[in-house]
Amino acid sequence: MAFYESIFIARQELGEKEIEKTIESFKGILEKNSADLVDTELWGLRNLAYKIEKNKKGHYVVLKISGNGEAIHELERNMRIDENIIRYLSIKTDSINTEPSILAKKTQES
Amino acid sequence: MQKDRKNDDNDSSGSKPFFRRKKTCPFSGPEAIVIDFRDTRTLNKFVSERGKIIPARISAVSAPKQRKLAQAIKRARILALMPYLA
Repeated sequence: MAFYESIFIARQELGEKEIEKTIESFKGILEKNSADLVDTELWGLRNLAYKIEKNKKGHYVVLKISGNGEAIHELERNMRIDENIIRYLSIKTDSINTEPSILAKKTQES
Repeated sequence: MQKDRKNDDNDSSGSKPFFRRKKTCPFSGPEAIVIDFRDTRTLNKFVSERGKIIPARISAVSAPKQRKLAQAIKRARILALMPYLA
């Protein structure tokens, strides 16, 4: 087992409910592949540094996962299929930090 | 930050030999900053106005930390937290 952080950017048109729904569906995918979604972090709607597929803004979501590489592979495959996801990045981490990161804190204040 | 300090000592007299304070790596030592691709405010200090990564010989970041820093900047670019070109 290893720890991963999977960050994805969803299109700005999506509402909070739709984002919750995608997180839920990803959770299902992870559980089917015997991986655990330990924590999620929402960074909210942020300006993108450059346009991605004509989007100027996007909803940032972080999934903190405990599982093996195959589960991540399956998750990334599904992210590529979902047209509402414009960018994703999965990173292997040494441990899972459940404290909110700098970016998460910023959105809570505003 | 550390970078600005080098100017303090060399303006006093022209005849004195040019003295430049040795810069140290901001990511090493007891007050080290943690390199994190989410922390764009810190990362922005290590890119030029055009968004290029500043070479370690100018920023005085140690070689292992420069590799970590470059990785972090590239990750921030993928997630559109930082620009590829500005």
